Amino acid sequence: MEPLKEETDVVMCHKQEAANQEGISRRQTLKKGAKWLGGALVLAILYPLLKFVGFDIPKKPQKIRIERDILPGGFYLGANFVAFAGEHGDVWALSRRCTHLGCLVSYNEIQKRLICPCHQSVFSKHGKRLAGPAKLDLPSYKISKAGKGKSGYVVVI
Amino acid sequence: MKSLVEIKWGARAMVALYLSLLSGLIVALQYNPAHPYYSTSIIDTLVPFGGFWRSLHFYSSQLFFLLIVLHFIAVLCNNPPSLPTYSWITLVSSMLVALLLLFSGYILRADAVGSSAGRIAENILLSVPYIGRTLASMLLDIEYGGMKRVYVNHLVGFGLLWLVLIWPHIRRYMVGWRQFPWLLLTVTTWSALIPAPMEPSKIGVFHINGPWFFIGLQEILRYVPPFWAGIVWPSIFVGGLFLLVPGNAWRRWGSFLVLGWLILYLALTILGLMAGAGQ
Repeated sequence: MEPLKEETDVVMCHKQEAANQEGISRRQTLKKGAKWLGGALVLAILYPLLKFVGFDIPKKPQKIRIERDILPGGFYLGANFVAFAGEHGDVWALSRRCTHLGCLVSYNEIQKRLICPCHQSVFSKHGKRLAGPAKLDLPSYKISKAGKGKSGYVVVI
Repeated sequence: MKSLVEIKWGARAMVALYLSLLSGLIVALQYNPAHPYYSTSIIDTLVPFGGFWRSLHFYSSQLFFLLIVLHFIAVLCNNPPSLPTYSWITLVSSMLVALLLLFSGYILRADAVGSSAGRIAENILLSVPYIGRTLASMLLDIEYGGMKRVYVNHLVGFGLLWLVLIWPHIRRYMVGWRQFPWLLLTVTTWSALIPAPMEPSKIGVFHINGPWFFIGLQEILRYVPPFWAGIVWPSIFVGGLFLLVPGNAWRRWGSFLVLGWLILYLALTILGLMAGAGQ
């Protein structure tokens, strides 16, 4: 009878081992599942976060008043724009943001050029890109006379 | 005499950080991100002791960064024991976040240098394919939000990120603020005597140089497109720093990469300074 008991013990032992392994693999599967669930939750939170942060609130169009007339051939340097007057009474306004990396360009009266102080991109009085690392022309803004009987202009940026 | 590499630069950096945090908190009470340049000028000129507190914040923050760089160099020279790659990368990343803290401080004063540096950084981020807009929005967003997000990140975001990265390191080396009284005294006296820089926008300025650590980058941006000059080029240096992990077989290559990069960057900085002086 003894050998038979031994055999039963061995079978019991194997059964126990199999049950243990099954338990471990179930635990591992559950752990893995929890990790995936955690990852999915992080992604689920990250998406609305990035959408929230990444939304650019549209800027209100700004109307800026230039109080005086610009003499023919002259210019007016605003904080974000520059306005020019041609010899024949025509006026135009340009953004001062350099199209390379956004620094503010300044007008060089001797060279009659707009120059970026950061990386020396050069633009014509009409905003055309002439030299330097910038690839695009300067954007223009709408400019009009301030109104009947009033001196100066209104620039919309 | 103690050898330079044996000096506890890290502990001194912590004391400089205490001073920077305290003075930063005081300056923040008067600073207004809606009118950054105006409020910085007012702090400097009208607010009683405003110039002193801003100087103290500026110089203690600069010193903090310089001291952690010295600490980093000293550790490397002392043949440190091998470290898990993850810990090393975390420590190097904390240094980069400290640089971001310094840089965002420069932007916040919104003078000619600060606002240009901010715009340049934002446009560099925007040049990153696919995630550029998200990165620019999260870190700066100057174009649409002015200084709002830069301020939030400078005050909370970058600081928290730095603390998370550095905490496993600094919790083992607590430093009391009274450990280096001479350092406190020197920085405070210096700040009382030397005002922090402020460069108003001037008409007819056709050359400006960015912060000292930015001049080399500014120079390379003249010749190379923003993504390559502003993202890929600095990433090579960061990659080199990552390779310096103590005990790593690639450490030698990392050293060559970092040294070569630094020599080139120094040359570019000198070129930038010369171009500035020639204007």
